[in-house]
Amino acid sequence: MTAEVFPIMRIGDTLLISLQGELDDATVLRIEDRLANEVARTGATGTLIDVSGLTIVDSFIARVLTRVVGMIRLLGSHAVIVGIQPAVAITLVELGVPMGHLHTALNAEQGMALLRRLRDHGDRAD
Amino acid sequence: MATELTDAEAVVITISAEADMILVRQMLRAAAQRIGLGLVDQTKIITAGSELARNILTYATGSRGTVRIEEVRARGRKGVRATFTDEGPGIPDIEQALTDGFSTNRSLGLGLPGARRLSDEMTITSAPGSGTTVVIVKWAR
Amino acid sequence: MTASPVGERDPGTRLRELEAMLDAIAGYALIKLDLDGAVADWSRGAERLLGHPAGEIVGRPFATFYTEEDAAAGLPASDLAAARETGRAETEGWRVRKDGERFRAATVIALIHDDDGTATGYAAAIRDVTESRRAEAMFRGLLESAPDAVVIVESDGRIMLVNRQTELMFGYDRDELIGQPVEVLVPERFRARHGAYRGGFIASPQTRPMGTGLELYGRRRDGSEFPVEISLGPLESDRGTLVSAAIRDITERREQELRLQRQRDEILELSTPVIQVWDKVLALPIIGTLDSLRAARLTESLLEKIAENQAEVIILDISGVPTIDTQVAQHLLKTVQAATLMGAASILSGVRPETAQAMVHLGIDIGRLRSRNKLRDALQLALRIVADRAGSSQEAARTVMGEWPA
Repeated sequence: MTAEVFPIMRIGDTLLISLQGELDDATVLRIEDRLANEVARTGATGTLIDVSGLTIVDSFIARVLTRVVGMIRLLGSHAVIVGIQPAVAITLVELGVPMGHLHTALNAEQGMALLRRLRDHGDRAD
Repeated sequence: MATELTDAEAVVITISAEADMILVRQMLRAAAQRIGLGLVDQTKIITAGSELARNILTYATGSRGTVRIEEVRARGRKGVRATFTDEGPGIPDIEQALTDGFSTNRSLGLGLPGARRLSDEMTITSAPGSGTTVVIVKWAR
Repeated sequence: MTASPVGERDPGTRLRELEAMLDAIAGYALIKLDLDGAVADWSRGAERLLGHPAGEIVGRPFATFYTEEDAAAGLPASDLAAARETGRAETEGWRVRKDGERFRAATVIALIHDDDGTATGYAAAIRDVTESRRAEAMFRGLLESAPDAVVIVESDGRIMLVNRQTELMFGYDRDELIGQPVEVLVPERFRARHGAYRGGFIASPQTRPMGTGLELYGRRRDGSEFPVEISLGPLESDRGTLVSAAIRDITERREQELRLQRQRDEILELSTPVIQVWDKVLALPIIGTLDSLRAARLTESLLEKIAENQAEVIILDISGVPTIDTQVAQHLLKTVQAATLMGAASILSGVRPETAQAMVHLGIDIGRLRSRNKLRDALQLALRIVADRAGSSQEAARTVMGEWPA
């Protein structure tokens, strides 16, 4: 399996990364590495993690997302996960994975708005 | 309820590396689509299978096991059945493993309760020292 | 007549004694013929069966008892010839009584010899089988007219009899099936098992449906399969226990069941509509009880609509739910959790005091889920949330645009 390339885009103060396809351990580590570096380098106040390309999110991936969000938070930035698909949302709830602590939005536009509110009002927003 | 195998070929995959997870998901997807499962049900059974396959990688002896994916039929409906087997240490207390310990006890994060909720049927056969077999079935509505 | 040792009695007495014994066996008529086929001796049974008194019939030809057509066709002579060749001939056919009445006769003709081996004539035993033939004919009539396919199987599993419906249903001519193992009508993958079941049925035969709970399929001549329902019944016969199987093609019924299920699904869809009450606000009025299937459908439909409408707020109105129990509450909470994962805020509306009490007593924690008694209040709150978000969205957009020169 060739290494997937996930470019990190920058929109003003916000970083956007789109995850898709199959994520194995090695890929995940690479993503965490690059995001940490980008957040630190750019001083971005917000990161959007787009998962609309993930058709299967099992407990492993869910834990990975939680870890990445936690890491970004530690670096002083907010993270919002956008684009969870309906089938994935239902499955995650049924799976029983705790996701309540994660900020989520339907798409990049709503995600940007949420990041704005998080920046202005902290984690209690919404 | 008597279940028959359909004429579709069964697929057996050896699970020993992460790359195998991708194949497991792909084969589950193919079988689920073949029997006409909707997207939500497809997602559920593939995710359940993903959990069980990852269990094998994480907990089985030598991180090795197999999954057999086949199409079944009963009462006029078709279904997908996946049988996961490993030669691991076995589950000492199946009842306990099926209780949701996900958020409180990380070591019990076997994904079994979740996989059960996502499937229509689940059967576990296990004993300490003699490996584990987990069978999950999802029926087309 | 006093009994005397066998060797001492003269042949005439002996014959009459035998005659008396045979007469006592109801239904058998005994006739002795000479070598030319003329009646040489007549019994009381023969008189009863054929109507001719002894005085009249002795000396008359064997052909007297045959029908005109058969006599003209030379049947009497060929029957006798057969007895001459093999020593014993069995025939069955229509015979005629003195009064002209026809009856179905089963006859055995044997060539008789005297002590030094010379043929001296024939002995014929005739039995009236009209009734049993009629019963058989009626049975076959019933079989042919049966609406289901009927297959009669011998104890070794070979097909003995099939009716027209069987031919039509499976696409065979009956000649192709008779003598074949019944498994030829069963799809290959079930054949081994079927054989075992058959043995079990023979061991304890009872009229009952076959394979309750099992999916049964029949296999046509062209290899195609179809779902069937089978009733089994034992038949006692002189060839041992036979099994009669009535087979019904239930393809139609299956399709109907599927159609009904689809209809039910559609009705479910219609009865739980997701309504867009405002831009980016969806409402889901839940009416009646919520079983697992309906709840799942609801959730799926709602989430799809959230994606479609880019909704930001969903209102779950439960004023139409009579009682809130743990199951309903769980369904609701799962729906809210899934909607949250898709970025939508949820508001519960139509919560009556009793409902609130019930939920608290059940220990249901709605967490950060907002709740309002009236739908109107819920909508007001929804619009505020949407406005808030729109505000942040505009600000975010402005920031981005500020970064990029016009």
